[in-house]
Amino acid sequence: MNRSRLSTLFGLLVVCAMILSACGGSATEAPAAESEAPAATEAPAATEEPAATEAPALGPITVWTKFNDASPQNAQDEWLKAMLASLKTDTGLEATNVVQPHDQINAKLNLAVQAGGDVPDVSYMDSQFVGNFYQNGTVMDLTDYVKSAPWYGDINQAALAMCTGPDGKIYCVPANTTNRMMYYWTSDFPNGFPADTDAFLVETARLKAEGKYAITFKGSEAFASDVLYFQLVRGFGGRYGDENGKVAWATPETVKAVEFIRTLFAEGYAPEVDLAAGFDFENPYKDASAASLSAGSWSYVFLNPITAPDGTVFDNGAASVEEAMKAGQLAVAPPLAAPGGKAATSVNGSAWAIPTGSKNVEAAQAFINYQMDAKRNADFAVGYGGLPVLNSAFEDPRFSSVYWQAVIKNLNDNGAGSDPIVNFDQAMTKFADTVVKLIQDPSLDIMTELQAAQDEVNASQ
Amino acid sequence: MTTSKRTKSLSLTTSKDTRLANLFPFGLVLPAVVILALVQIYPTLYSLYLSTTRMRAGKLTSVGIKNFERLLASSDFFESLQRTVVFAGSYLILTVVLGLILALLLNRRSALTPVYLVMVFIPWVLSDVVSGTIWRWMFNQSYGLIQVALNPLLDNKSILSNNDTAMMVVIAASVWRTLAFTALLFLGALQTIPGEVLEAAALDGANRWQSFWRVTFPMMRPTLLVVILITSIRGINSLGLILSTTSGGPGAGTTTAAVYLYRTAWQFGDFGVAAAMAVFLFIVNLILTIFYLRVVRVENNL
Amino acid sequence: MISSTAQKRIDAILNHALLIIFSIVMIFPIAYALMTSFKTRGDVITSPPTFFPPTWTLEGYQKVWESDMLTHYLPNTAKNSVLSSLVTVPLAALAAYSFSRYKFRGSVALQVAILGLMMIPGLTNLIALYQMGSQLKLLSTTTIMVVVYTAGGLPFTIWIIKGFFDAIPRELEEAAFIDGCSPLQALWYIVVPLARPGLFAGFLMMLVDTWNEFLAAVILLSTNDSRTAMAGLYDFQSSFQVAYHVQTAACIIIAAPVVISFILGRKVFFQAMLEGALKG
Repeated sequence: MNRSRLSTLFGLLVVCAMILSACGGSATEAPAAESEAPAATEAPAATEEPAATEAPALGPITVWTKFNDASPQNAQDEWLKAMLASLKTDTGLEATNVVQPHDQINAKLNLAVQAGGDVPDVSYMDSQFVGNFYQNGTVMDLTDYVKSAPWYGDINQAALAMCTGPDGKIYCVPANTTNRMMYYWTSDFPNGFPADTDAFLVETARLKAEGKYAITFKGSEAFASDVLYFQLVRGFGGRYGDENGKVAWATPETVKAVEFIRTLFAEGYAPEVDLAAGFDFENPYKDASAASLSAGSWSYVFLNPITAPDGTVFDNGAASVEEAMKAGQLAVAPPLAAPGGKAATSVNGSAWAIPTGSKNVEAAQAFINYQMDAKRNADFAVGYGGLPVLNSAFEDPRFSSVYWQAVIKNLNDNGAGSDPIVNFDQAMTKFADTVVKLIQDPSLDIMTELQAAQDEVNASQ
Repeated sequence: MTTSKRTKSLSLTTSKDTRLANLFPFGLVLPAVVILALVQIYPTLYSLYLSTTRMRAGKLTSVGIKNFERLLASSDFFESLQRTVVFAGSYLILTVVLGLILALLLNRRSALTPVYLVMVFIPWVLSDVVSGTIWRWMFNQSYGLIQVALNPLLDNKSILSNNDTAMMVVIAASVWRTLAFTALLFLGALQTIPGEVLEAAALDGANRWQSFWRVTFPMMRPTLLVVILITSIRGINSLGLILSTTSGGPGAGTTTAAVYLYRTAWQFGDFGVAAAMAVFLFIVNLILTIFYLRVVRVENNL
Repeated sequence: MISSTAQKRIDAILNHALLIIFSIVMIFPIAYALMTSFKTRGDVITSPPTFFPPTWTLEGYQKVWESDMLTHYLPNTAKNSVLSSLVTVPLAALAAYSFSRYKFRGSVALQVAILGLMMIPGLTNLIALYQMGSQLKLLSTTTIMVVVYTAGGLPFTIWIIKGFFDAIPRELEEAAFIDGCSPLQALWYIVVPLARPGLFAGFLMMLVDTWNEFLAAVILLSTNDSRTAMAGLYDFQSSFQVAYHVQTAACIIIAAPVVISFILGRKVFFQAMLEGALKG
């Protein structure tokens, strides 16, 4: 290539970059504005319209969530988009959302606070991280604010407990609660869904003979420890952690739970894809090659399109599952219990927190107060796939459907709080990794591995 | 190619002030050094400091070498090191061997060589994330083309759900991505071998195999050592591709030390321990480098 | 005994056959990704999967078009990448010139130290850089990305360019000095034109590396406006879930500019790398 062509290519690249950055909008201007003074750079509409909840001018705030309001992919994203718009219209408060991936938002918040800058004014958080955030000083103590808030009398105390730290102080405001149960294809379980693991093993053999998997579930990564594994460990009488925040899963009860999980894989009742990373474990249920799915109350948001065993396709976004239920093909059941025992499900929630270093605490509180309204709380719950936290919100007619009644019953009958392990994420990841290891190598002794894992995690605290 | 490096500096006869003249070369490197110091040295030192701290109840406390002790006693970390050896070792061997073969093949210039070069180089131009996404897709248990194609052979075993096969996929993807560059380096070395030497060997009755091992290969030694060094370090530090392909899974099946570092820092927020790991990995890289430099020095003295 | 011409024929055929196999193996994954990007959502989740789309559609590309990828992420990538490369190459050239032509005290040690920086695992540096950037209010800006990328690319680029400079005989510069040129003038008017292929190769490699970089982008950029393409793709892998036609479409779109640049610049690149001074 001679010089002129070289120069041409060079020039072309520079020109392309310039054009693209011009078209790309204010990439450099916006961050500079945000990092300088989020409250001061724009004249907020709050001064023009009478703010419904707060009198002084509340500047625009930055909120971090795991929802994408700019290009909504699902019902959760749609909810945020609608909510931010109505927030602006109703109160004049302008909140700009920055979307963070669901498995990074908690870590990123941690990092932002520890680095001492560029912290959002208010952030979404998963309630399981209360212990971790308490440890790292990530979020502000909201006890006084919550106890004097107008909606304090209406909030469900169990939900509030999810946001309470080991020191008894409140570190976040819960917005919904989710619990976990089973989705199943009714035609695969003609006698209804089995109540306990022994009854389940009877069905599994039959389903295997029919060429189906009995169950599919998230089997690896931290999330797995929150779904089926939690249900089984608690069901058999074990626990992940003790009151001191230390890991305590190395017990004979947990061993029984892990033995059951091992059986599922050893006998081929669950597909191997369950051990891989990501959400591919949902596919066998979606195409009916698996008879049941260990799901959460939010699963319907993501399960579409979905094909029933007889071939009927339900393809209507978040309503697909509802339609399948109406058609009598899909049903919901509580988690599997241990023989003679009680079913258990972990109850976690979405919550709003004010990070340490938030520049606009008042506006953040206004943001949260806006959410704490019966209708809006119900909207969020349905959009997200959970139950509201305000007692008055439960009156919303949407929660009288078969699906939601089952979710509420599951919460009341089987709800169990997560153990407040200090290094929660690490513990959950280690537990899931250990179970995967035990599944992959049937010769390993369960108790030995559990004990080793327990020691490892406790030593890291 | 020029191998004799003249030791005499350029004379700066034009400069009037001798002291200024002596400072001139420093001035040339100064901008680069400043940026490097700011962005690489300072953070490294800060990480060193971080490796002696721990965050408890919002306060950063100094814990001395406790983090290192913990690491040395940690079976998780030890296992991740084992996986690193497997991954980096396989990556190294495959890259070098296949790279050599590819270079030898490309050395035979033909009309199609430019075409081959471009086709072979396309993976190198892709990113870790793009490559990982594509490979993850190809091995998707339900819908991945390669997984489904191999199902009859594997009795429907999910490739990405088994530690060994997942590791193979990750190694394959890594080799796939960087093979071309390695081959290019070897090709450059091959082309510096004077034709007369090979002709002389052929005249002496050497067949191609002998010609390669006795003549070509020894002349490529310097390049070979450099490639081995770069590839080893890249293998040890490799992160993006593994994360995009398997996320370190199944379970911890492909969690090499670099991935474990990422998880500890990023997922668990345990920056002190992560910094300790980084120090550890740096020392490993350093030892490797010193080892190779020794070998090079020995080679050069022969 | 096979005659030598027949032997040569067999060699040639074998050579081509093996190269074709290599080429297919290297191209196959991206070709498959390309095919997947043209499939409908339904076709992507069928089993057994096909290589070619049963129905060709632009659904996937449509979804990418509607997202922030083309409006924000890709332009950011382009901006960060081109700017970093434009900054790095001159700085590296200056340093490389110094290392190549001047043997000052500490020169070798400095070179070794700079090369040694490539051994440091990048992640923990990024955490410290995050803190620094946070305090300087530079997070989620182009500035910090350019600075970080430049620092990341300098060691390798200096090494490469120095190799090219070493190959250029000094007589030319010395002649220029006698004529009254300053060293910098000699660099610009004599050495740079001769090393142009090498400089371009360095620029191209820097461009490719920074275009494809994702770790620093994920950590240092947390706003929608500043996010780059790789970070966007990695971050939203799970929210797209099985929408692989969208994911692969995004992959193709993101990779296209670099692939095209590489194809356009390939002659210079290969010429520089093969005939240049990359001898370690």
